[in-house]
Amino acid sequence: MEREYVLEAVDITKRFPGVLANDRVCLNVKYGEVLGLIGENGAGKSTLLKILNGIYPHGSYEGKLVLEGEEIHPASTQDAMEKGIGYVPQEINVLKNFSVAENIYMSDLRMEKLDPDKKKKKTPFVNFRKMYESCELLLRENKIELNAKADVRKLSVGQQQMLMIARALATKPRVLILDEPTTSLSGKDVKSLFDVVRSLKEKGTSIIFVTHKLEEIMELTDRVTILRDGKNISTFEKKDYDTGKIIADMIGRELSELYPARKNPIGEEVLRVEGLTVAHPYIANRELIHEVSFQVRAGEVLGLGGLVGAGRSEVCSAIYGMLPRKSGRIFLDGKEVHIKNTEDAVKHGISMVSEDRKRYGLNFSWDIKKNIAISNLKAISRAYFVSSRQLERRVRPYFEELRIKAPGLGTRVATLSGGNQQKVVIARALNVSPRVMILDEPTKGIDVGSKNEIYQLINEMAAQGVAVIMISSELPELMAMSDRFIIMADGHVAGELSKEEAQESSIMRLATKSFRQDETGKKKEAKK
Amino acid sequence: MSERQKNRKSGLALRILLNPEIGILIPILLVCVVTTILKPNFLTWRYISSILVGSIFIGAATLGECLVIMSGEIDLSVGYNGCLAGVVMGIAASAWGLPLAVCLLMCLAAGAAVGAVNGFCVCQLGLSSWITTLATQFICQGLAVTICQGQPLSIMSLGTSEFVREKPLGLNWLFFIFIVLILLLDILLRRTRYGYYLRSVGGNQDASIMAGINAKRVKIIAFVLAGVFAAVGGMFDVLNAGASNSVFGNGREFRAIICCAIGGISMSGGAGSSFGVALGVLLFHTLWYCLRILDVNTNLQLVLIGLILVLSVIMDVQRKRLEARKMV
Repeated sequence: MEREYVLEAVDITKRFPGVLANDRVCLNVKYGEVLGLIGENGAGKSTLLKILNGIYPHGSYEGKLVLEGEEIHPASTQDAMEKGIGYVPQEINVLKNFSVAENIYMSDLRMEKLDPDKKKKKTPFVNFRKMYESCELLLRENKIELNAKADVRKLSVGQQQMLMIARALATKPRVLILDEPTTSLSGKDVKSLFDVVRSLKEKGTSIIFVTHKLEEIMELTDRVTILRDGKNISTFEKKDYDTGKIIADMIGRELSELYPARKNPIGEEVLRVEGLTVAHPYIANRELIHEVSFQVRAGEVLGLGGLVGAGRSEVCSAIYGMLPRKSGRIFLDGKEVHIKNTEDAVKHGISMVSEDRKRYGLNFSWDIKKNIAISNLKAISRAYFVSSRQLERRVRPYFEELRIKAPGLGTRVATLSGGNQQKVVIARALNVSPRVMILDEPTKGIDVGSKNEIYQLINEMAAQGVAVIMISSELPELMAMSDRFIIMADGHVAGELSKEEAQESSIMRLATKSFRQDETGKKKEAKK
Repeated sequence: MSERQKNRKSGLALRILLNPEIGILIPILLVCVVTTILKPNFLTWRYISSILVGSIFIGAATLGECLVIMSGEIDLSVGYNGCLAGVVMGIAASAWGLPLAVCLLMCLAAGAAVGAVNGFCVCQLGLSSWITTLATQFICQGLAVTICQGQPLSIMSLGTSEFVREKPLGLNWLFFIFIVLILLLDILLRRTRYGYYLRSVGGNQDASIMAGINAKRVKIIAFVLAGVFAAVGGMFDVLNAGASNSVFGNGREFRAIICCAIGGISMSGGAGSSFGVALGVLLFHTLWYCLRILDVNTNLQLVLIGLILVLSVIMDVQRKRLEARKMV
């Protein structure tokens, strides 16, 4: 009997404290197909992938993996790779000080794995000639347009993504997993990525293509499996693709339910920014953001839109005192304020939640209460002494109102799920009683239920008259939650949209506007 | 099944062993027991008080060092910084004939000034704390030797010799000052806003900045306090010897770092306690003292001390792993 599936994951169950990340998930990959794996953040995609590629080794989960009819027990990523499961992670991770070929063959610099029959003497030296030869062959075979000798530092993000795919292909995998490969790519790079995927498919390699962009599923995949809340929801064949059905299965509820309505009046202007300019820290004459001006009013949610890298986070960091400003003024209630560091910002009633929860969010060796309290010790101390009784009393209302799911205030934040960690970060930001709240991707990487709770929190903030600035790369979220939109492109404000004007198309048109500030352009302008 | 039970049992034993404070007390007792077996009259107050009093010189510098390490940096200058501070005190007393209070203040101010330079270079100029403090340590040594001209500077004029020679409870007053410093440091770390900020910055500097903490200021204060504590160590040396000398404090920075490591200060910053550090100093000094009275070869002493350091770092890593495992 001919086997239909190259890879089968059967009844995979993976538990984390307090969370069932994968609940009897099954995934089947046919020979030579592109299988889409789609689901919201927190649906259990990454957990499943980490099981497939051995980051969570065999034994740490229940269920079994079958590759070409044989059960496999990957003990590590290396092991999974040797067994034939290639994995390209979401974040770019390449060695910037090496060439393309060196990156690809870093684990096998003597080039021994490629011809195991020729048992040469082991040498401590790198076999450069062979390395470049096989690298060029590999790139040519897979139609990847890279130069084997190119310096990786000089590659664009898209090329680095291609390099990572080439690296995964070097081990000749039978199944290749691409984890949200298009997150940081431009339209042209996406197209060439799709070409590579198609040519791989023709050669019989099966591909698991993970994304949460529907149009990519529609265009590229042969089947799609949808996960939600750690469970299999459905699998569609290409002929049955239906955008509405897929979305409904993905989020498990109507969109209107996901985004709670807000009906508070909008008050006076609270924050105004004029001509905010931040210089590039390393490149002379380049600016991260250029002459950005806008204002936010009390009870208003201002949506900062734009593509990744358009300078949205930089605007927020500059207001919050994390980035030094080259020029520009900040006004609170019409009065100019001078913010040199985050301490000043907090003193003036500005608070911020960063998109990078791991790095800028939490102190992972601390418990919940200290993480919340640290932003406002003055409120709970007499002279310079912190009262631990008052600390508890100050923090508890936030813990309860934000419905942080944890055994208690003394629970260490490292044990919490992403959504609850995010609530702790928001609680910390609220603890300073801010008048302006900056939320940079506040729902990144958390489950749908927590998202909904965070939207409600945003509404509550607005109802209390806090001016909210929100960045989000998820357009539906941004459109549903904001009263007004500032769309950024290339570090400039590309335009402002009211709630009525904001359509996916109008936002994208502004977001893709070009303000390319290359030096020749600047010189031309100067000459005029 | 039985294997899992065994694991759990050894886990419990390990957990007790890995409690920072108990983890240090056990080797201290072990060293004492071994020494008593080899030298039966060891367990007398004469030896014990001698160990306690002898530990304060490294101890004072270690208290400062732990602040810097907890903030996520390192200070290699505490040894000669203390020495220079002592020499400043010596020259103020012997050459300029200044009164006691002024001499003591100048000593502390010298230490604080060097600490401030360290802090400025690391936080404002963005230099690595390893390089900065290594450089200031050389500068301090050079200055101390230049001022002393190789001669001890007597502080007889201050009239402190009586005070130092007094033996309340068989110890001396300097030891009690050291105890007070330990208590003050404990209050600073656990009760004050600064203590919270320091641990927060050491635990996750970026998150602390996001929470509105001025991380630079927190670190600069840590360096300045380290300088002051180093100066206290230098002051103890000078008061004890009755003269300042440019060889005091030689190698003390590394001993202080070892004591911090033994005392459960996390080398990546953020965690540690004043009493842990005090016990770390006690273990280090007890070991060193016992090796000496047992006439162990000097070079072998170094080997043993090095082994202790490695062991303490292994414990530190294990402690973290255990904590991580407890969480999952």
